[in-house]
Formats: sequence, C-alpha cells, structure tokens
Amino acid sequence: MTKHVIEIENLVKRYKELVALDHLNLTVEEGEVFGLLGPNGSGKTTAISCILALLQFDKGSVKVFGKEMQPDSYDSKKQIGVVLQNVAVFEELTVQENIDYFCGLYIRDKEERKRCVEEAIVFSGLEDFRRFYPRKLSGGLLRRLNIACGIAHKPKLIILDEPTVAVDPQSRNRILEGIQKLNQEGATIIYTSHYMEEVEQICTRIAILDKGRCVAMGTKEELKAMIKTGEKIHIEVWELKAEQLEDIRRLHHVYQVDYREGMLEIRCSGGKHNLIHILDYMTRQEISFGRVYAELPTLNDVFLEITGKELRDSAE
Amino acid sequence: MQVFKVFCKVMYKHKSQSLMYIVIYLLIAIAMSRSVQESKVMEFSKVSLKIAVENQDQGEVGEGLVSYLKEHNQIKEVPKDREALKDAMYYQEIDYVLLIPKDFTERFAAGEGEELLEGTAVPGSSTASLVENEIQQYLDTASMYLRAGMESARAVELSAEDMRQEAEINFLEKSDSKPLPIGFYFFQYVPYVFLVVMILGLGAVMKTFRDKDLSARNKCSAMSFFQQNIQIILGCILFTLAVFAVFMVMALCLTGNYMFTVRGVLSALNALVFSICAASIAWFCVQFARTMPELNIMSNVFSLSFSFLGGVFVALDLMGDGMKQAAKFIPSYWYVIANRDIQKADSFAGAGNIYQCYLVVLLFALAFFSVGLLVNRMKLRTV
Repeated sequence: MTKHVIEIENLVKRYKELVALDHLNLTVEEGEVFGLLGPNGSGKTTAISCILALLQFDKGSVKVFGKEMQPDSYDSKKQIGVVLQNVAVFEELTVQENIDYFCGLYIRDKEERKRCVEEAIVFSGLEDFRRFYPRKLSGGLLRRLNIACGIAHKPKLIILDEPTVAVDPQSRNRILEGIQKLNQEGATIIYTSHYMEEVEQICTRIAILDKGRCVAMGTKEELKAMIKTGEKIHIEVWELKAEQLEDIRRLHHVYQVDYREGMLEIRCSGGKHNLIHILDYMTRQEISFGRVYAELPTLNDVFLEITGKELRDSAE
Repeated sequence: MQVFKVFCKVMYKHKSQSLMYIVIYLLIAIAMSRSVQESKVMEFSKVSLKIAVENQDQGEVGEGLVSYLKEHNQIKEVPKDREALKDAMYYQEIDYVLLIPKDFTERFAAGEGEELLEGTAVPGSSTASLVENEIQQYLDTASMYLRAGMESARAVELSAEDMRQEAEINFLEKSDSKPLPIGFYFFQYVPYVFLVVMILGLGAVMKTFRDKDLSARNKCSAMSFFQQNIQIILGCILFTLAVFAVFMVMALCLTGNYMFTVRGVLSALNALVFSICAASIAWFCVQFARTMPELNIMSNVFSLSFSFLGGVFVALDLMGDGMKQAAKFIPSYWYVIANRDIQKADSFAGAGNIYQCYLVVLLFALAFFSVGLLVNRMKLRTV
C-alpha cells in the first residue's frame, strides 16, 4: 500500500489581494521524485513554505508523514531535508563547518554527525573545498554546499526548491544525478523548478502549477497524453503556396500548421505515420524541402495547451 | 549547543572591528592616565629666571633695578664674547640679557623712559615678557617718585619697598580640589566604546543569525525555535561579559588599587549595568538595520549622540538646563551621574543614589529590548 508523505488539501494562501495558492490539492507518495513545475510566481515556493510551516496559510490543511504540519512539528521536521531557493549558509564558516552546523540541528551524537557530514561532503563532491569559505566558491559549488547542508542528516523527505538556478551545466548534471541517487537510497523528493527538462529527467510524477492552482498532475506520460499534440514535425521548405498549406492542414491527424521564415511546423494529434503522409504529399506536389525532424510533445506543450502560455517564456 | 558554538565562531570572525575600538580606547586611556598623573595640584610660585645683566650705569636707579631683579631671579655675568652669549642663550643657561647703559640714572631722572634699556631674549620665549614686565613695574614706580621731586636714592629706596609688597594668592575651593582618581577618567568614556563595540560586534553577529534565508533555514530544522533563541541569548551574554571582562582587565592594569576600593567596585558595577544597556541597544538597532553599512551608521548615531548629550564627552556642568533635562532621557546621562557620584562614595551603604542610577540604566535596557522585541514580532507577522 502506498504511503502518503505529504497531503495538501484545499490550501489557500493570500498576500493581501494576491491569491498565491488557490485551493491547492496535492499528494506526494513515499519514494517518489515529485516535481512542482510552474513559471515564477505560480506558487511553488509558497507551497513549499506552507509545507514547511514557514508560512501561515488562510485555509486548508497540510499533512506531512500523516501529521498536521505546525511550526513546532519537530518530529516531522527531523525527517525533512530542506534546500531552499536562496543559498542559506554562514559566510563566516567553512564548507565543513556549515554542513556540520546544519547537520547538528538534527543529530546530536558527535560521531554520527561526523560520519554524516563526511558522507554529505563526498556526496556533493566538495572534498577539495571542505576548508573553503562560501565566498570563495563558484555558483555551482555554492549550490552543492546548500544541498549538502540540507541532506547531511539523511532525511526521509527532501524538499529542493529550484536548486539549479544559475548553475553551470556540469554542476547541474551532478546535482540531478545526486537527487536521483538520494531517491534510489529511499528518500522521497519534492523538486520545484521552472526548467521542464530537469523535471522531465528526474521526476516520476509532476504537478503543473499556474496562478496558485494545480492545472495538471500525473506522470510525464500521463501529462502528455492529456493534450492533443502527439508530435510536432518541422520541415524546412523554401516555397509553399497557400493552397498547398491548406492541403497539408487537411491531412489526417494534422490539426495545426504554421509556416514562418521557411520553416513549416505541423502539429499532429496521436496517430501513426504522420511524417510519411506529409512527405508523400510534398513529393507528389514536387515541393522542395531541406531538413526534416519530428519532436514528441514536451511539458512545455502540456503547459501551453492547458494554460495558453509558454512555460519557459513566462518563467524568464 | 550547536547554535551557541556557531554564534561564538561568527563572533570570533567579527572580532576585528570590536578589537580596533577597544585598542584605541586602551591607548587613549593610557595617555589619559599619564596626563592625570602628571597634572599635580597647582601652587602659585614666582618664576625665577636666569638674567645676565651688564650694568654700565653707576647711578642709584641702575643699581636699584639690579637689586630688585636679584630678589626673584638669578643674576649672571654677561659672557665676554658674542658666540659665548649665543651659546648660553641657546642652551638656556640665560633666559634674558639686560644692558643698562651709562648715565642711565641721570637720563631716567631727566624723564627718558625704559627705552634706554636694551633687552634680548631667546626668540619665541615667553620669559622675555615676564622680565620686561618686572622691569616695567619697577621703573614705573621709580619714575613716579622721581617725578614727585624726590632724590634718586630716596626714589630707589621707596620703589624697592613698594615692590616687596606682594598680593597673597589663594586657590578658590582649594580644599575641594583633590585630584580625581584615574579610575574616574577611565570609566568616564566607557559608554561610547561600549555602544560602538556592542552595536558593531554583537549587532553584526545577531544580524548574521537574522538573515532572512538563514533564519528560514533554521526554522525548518528539528531544533526548536525556543532552544535556538536561548542559545543566541547565551551568546549575547557571553559577548557582553567578554567585553566587560576586557575592560575590567584594562581597568586593573591602568588604575591599579582603585579597582579594589569601594569606588572601584561601584565603577565596575556601573560599567556592567551599562554594558547590558548597550547590548540591549544593539538588539534594538539590529531590528532596523538591513545591511552592515546601515548598522555602522546606527552605531555612530547612537554612540556619538548618547556620548555628547549624556555628558560623556562634554561635562554636564557646561550644559544648559534645557539640555540637562533632555539628557535625562538618555542612559549615558545616568551612567555619567553615577560615575561622578561614585567619586564621593565612601561605602556601599551610602551609595543609594548610585544604585538608583543603575536601576534607571537597567530600565532603559528593558525599554530598548522590549521595543526591539515588538518590532521583531511585527516584522515576523508581515512575512
């Protein structure tokens, strides 16, 4: 039987006139890597803050490990690892001292703590920087330190709020691999981001937030199945007549055609051999074409179809 | 004690600014204690100068003048050659050279003035005016008798008699003008340095812990908020006591036995009470300062204004009544009053008004702490 690690019911959080969370409902199950995807201002961080009892909400309930989450739910907090959006470390302490401090907020036993700190340092690849002060670290290393501080006490639930913002691709990959490793070791992960590729890469279930509401939730396959787009076909065409464009639009499974700057973009609903049908038509019409490639729908397409706006564009 | 340990580490990292102020204060205190030791009780005594006189006059007035000068000064022979004279003046073997010309008595009696005399002093020396003043006084008196028709000999005799009459000089309140002990001066300026050190040192550490992200991260942890705060408060107490201890060691080194007297103990208590107030003001400032430069500005505003208005830098006696009334709303005023009264205290039992001052300073500490707490609560609510 699956165990709910987090249960959020009808959560409402208002900042004066602004509704940051609008009757949000979510459940996170044990062993999941649960992605919270949404543009900036969609309510991801507010939701995380409510889960952690950092914010008081106006309505609804938040349960963590089956218990109502309160600011003094220290038993629950003991099992949670937090990596907040902004790097929260002491500038006056070294890498090792920082990890030791945050680990010490959960583990009192010195020996156990020492072991945990060492493991967190190795896990984050900070072995060569243990005596460095945060100001001497690059953005990527700083993010890794932030993660090490959050996971050193080996929590059962790890909440990562946009941990890869402003991180170089190399560090990003390392962070994502690390998160997957933590999940394999048994931790349930909540991962928020507005980078859909990351969420697609590591999350087993995803909730898409927009204006404080959960607009879609499921596995990435389930989410993609929710939308009309089956595949997107891009063909480089130098010349195309209006009637030819209309003919393509009338082809089976084709529901949207755009022709801009020599590039034909055809959106097809589910169905087989769409590309063959299109190319067959073009050969018959003697239409010259160059590059051809097809794409499966992305989470951005899911977001676009559900909300009518680009996820990435609105995020950045 | 994880939070407490990190509090101490952060405190250690921010030590330089606090230490700088403490060292500067130490140097000033050393300089001040030396100057106090050197400034003994003043007593009036006539200055004796070394005057070289060449008297070419054989008359009574010339002789009388030399005799008069001889009474308070050392009269020396004028060196024979010019170089020897220059050397004697350079090495201050002679302060003044006086040449009394031939026939001075006759010419003076005929009405010519002191311009007949030739005097030389070391350039820039104040002694010249002293000697010239004495000569002037003597000649004015002699001239008066001569103009009255007296013989030169009689005029000289009477002038000498007049000049011997001296006004008795007494210091007003001489009996009360016992020098204040070094301890008084050492403790007088403590409010300024305590305020700066507490606001910059303690404020910087508290500011680190109150950083928005760090604070949120700490709140997510399994350690209760109460426990974290208790450890931070312990850290603040440690810092306050450490600063106080440093000052007590400095006081012991500079004031010696003073610290083992009733006054010394009362002064130490006064400083301890004020250090608590300064720590409370630091907590108050941290609620408003968003950045370190802002905290720096606040430290200057509080330390300088409290020191000037409270009578630390400017003696309260020099302040107007209105200013004094306003100063009563500043904790440093009560510290200064206590420090002044401590110098009159002979026993712990007779120091009631001093204890009242301690109490007022502690009430100020409570007020600043409470307002800081209120602002803190309001800020937490608006998050």
